[in-house]
Amino acid sequence: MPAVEDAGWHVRYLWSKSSGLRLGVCDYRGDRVLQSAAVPFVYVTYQGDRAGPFTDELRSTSADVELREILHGFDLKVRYDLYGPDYEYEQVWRFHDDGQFGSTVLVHGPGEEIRGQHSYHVPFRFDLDVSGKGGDCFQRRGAGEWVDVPREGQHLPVAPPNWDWRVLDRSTGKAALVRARAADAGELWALRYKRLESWSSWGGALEAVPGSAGSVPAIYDNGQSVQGANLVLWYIAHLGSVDGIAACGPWFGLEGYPQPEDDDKHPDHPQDDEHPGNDDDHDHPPGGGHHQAKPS
Amino acid sequence: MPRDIKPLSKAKQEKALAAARDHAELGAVLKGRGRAVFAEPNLPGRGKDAGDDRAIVGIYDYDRDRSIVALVDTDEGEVLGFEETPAQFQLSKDERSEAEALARKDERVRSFLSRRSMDPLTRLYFPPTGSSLDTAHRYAIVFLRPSNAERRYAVVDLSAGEVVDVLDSLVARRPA
Repeated sequence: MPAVEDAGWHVRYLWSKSSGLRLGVCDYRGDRVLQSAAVPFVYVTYQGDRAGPFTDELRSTSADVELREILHGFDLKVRYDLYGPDYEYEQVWRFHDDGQFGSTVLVHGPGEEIRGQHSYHVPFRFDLDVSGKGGDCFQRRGAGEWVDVPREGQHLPVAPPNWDWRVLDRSTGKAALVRARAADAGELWALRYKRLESWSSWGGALEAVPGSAGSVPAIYDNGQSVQGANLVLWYIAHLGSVDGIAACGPWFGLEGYPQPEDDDKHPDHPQDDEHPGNDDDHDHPPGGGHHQAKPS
Repeated sequence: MPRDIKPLSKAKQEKALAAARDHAELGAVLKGRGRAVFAEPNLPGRGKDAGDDRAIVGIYDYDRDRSIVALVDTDEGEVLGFEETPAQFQLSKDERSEAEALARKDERVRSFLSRRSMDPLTRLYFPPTGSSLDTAHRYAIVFLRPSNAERRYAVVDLSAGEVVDVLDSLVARRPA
């Protein structure tokens, strides 16, 4: 599996036939963050029940992955153009040198109509691994403090793009914070890792909209504890086509991980400010170092 | 620009599929109307399930309209476990071709195309709410694109091997 070592990250990735550019194990400054991540498919609905939903696979005419150096980090960028220009998607996996990371899917459309009568439902799956030994705990932000969430289930953002959730390793204090993009109409599902869910993440879909009862990931929710376990987060963005070209995807920050030198710190790093404001596009102020990407 | 990418090598893919065919229960499914729809490395796997020698094989059993997913050791050529899943996997290349072939034979499609190229796009499809179609079946929707401006949509029941509808729009018509 190819890997990139840059900006404090070691990122393994894989081009898959069935669900585009997927991530394997990702470490930040030597500590584990992710076991894997992917967007298994895109679910498309048209208004009026004349036609049923269908799924778009994230497939491409080429297997090129663009490694793009940016301020404070790097992107892995791909274009899913197999269906032609009317149905194109792009995806960026972004990694910053302060530990922030995330994925954005750009929906080009226009699809089969141009009056905003269809929607895209984009599921992102993140198998996080903060503790490295099955000891992760899911929490949501309560009134000024983090609150344990006892069981699996669905969560809606309270005030996107604030950090509404986190996966915490109590033994070390390390955590991965998660926030929704304000325009996503997003939702987050916290699940305990299960074989069937993991195996089925290669594009497994159901007739109902992702996030609804009887669909993914709800079918994998059987009320298990999300405290002291291996956890998988599904983030689902629901986008109307009325905006034409649209972008979606969650964003992550890290707490308690080793950090770069103080003069490299960013004003909006989650450890400096847990309420980053309306930083929808994840842009950052200039003034950082330049990194040489080292694909291996 | 790093060039990827080696998903599952052809050899490992074939070994994974051979292991599924040799397995007592999965082999029986594949000897019937079961079809392997994908074989991929077990990238999301954890613990003993993970590793370069582990593959996931997705199967659709057309005899019983169910999806099965199996973990295979590609070095040993052995199925390590399998489960039935309520999820349907994306269409395989063969299934897309089959759906397009069925659409091509349909009289409504032939009439619309009028000897023009079908230029098809084919996806996994689910019948709409309230449809009389059997929701347990596996469906494809074939977009027919003989020109930039003209469209028809053939709904193909892959379980039954027939075109069940040809739509002229994906959106409900608005009253005039």
